[in-house]
Amino acid sequence: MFHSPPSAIRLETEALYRDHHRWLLGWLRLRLGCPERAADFAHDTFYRVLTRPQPSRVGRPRAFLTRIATRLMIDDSRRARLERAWLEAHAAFMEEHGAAPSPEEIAELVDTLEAVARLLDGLPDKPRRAFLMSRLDGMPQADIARALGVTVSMVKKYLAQALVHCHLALRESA
Amino acid sequence: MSTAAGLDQVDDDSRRHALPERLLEEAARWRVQLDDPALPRETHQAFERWRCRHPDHAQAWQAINAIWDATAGASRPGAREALERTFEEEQGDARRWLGRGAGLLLILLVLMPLAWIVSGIPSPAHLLADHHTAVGEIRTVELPDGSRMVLNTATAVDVRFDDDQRRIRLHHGEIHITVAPDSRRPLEVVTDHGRARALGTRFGVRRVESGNTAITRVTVQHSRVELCPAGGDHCRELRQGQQADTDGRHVTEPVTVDPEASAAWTTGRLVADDVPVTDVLRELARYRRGFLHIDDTGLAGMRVSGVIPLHDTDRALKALESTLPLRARRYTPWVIRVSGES
Repeated sequence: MFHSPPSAIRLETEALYRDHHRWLLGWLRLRLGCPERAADFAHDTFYRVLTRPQPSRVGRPRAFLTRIATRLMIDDSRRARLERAWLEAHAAFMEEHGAAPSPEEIAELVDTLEAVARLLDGLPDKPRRAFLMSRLDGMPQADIARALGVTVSMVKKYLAQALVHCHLALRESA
Repeated sequence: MSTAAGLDQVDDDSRRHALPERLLEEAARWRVQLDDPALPRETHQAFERWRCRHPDHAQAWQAINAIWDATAGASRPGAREALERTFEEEQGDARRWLGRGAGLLLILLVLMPLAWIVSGIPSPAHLLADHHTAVGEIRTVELPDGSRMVLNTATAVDVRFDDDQRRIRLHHGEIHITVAPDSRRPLEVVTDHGRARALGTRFGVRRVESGNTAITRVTVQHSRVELCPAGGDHCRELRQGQQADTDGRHVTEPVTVDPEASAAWTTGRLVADDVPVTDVLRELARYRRGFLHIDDTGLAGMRVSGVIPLHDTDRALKALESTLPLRARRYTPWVIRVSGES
């Protein structure tokens, strides 16, 4: 799915690949202990390098590559956690309603959950929980206050704090 | 539009112009204020005045409101729990999650249905039946008249025998009956969908439930059975080796089945003769606690023949894995996904 990337990025990526791919593979293998997964992450890392919006002069190529690879590994374990946690929580719901999600639906849902999780990263516990109760479960503020053991005006403060946090997270990722 | 895409949209809007944080905070406070259903009219008017005062106010409002709406679009059963769990795991502090009284009620609401799954008991009402089995259990019961009843996995029945009749109510699951002859008192198995009357014989009755539809399926191993729908009088007589369903209104045209293979479960075996592997997995799922997800697309066209033990479904899954190009991914002991090998 390459949309013919600008040649500056392509040339730079080719050079990075030529000089450091083997090294990155070794680095990943050491951490993952699994040659197949190491190869997958190495591939994804270079894909990321190739598809990034702007070329940037890479000063320390190995640090640059391991930073991307590390981010990918963190995202991967978060996805696995989200998927497992959701299947477990959802199993209870399905027992009652008998609707089993397809792998495609699961993948799409995990994408969505991951996007929400990324917005909430770094937000303290209570604002995060208040926000999720409000947005994902549609709980009224009074119920959230009871659930968190705080006043309604505190819940309002949490929700507003979470909204601003999400906006800034989006702005930063842009 | 999917929610992930919805969030991307929000993303594009926020790129245009970096609003000062003070304005974003104001917009967020308004958004939260307006969430109150009993909002006084004056507050609403005050909000409108604020929003129109400056284009930046309107823009801040739009940016904040978009997040408010897009995150609500991610609402799915279990979504909040999954996110919370993931955050807690990432913080590596699972104990705090359970220790705080605050979220405890919500957690219990989630865990209680899970507890039922893990315990292998389909529902609390199940325990009140005269005879019941847990998920994975197969049990034989001698009835007072000398008839023999085998209960398959996750089954609940009530037995009412008196001077005039022998009646068995099947609430859930599947039974197989070897009827003791008694010309004075017919034996009937009753479900919501209909009743099967034995004319001296061996036969099985199963409630088949998938999604929102449920039917009752009767299979005759020996002699004859009369099957009548609950809401109708068009009964059919089924003979040895025949099987028919009723949904409460009609009885389907009988089909021919292998009488012994269809009752093989009474001896803890599943006999497959060139059937889709997805059918076999669906059968195995009945004997497992928790959730067995079957990837119908990836497993399409895969067929299997053989005798599969029902008392150890883990072993059965491993056997299928070793003979067919499929893979069982275990998330937890009770969440497994079976898919084609890619």
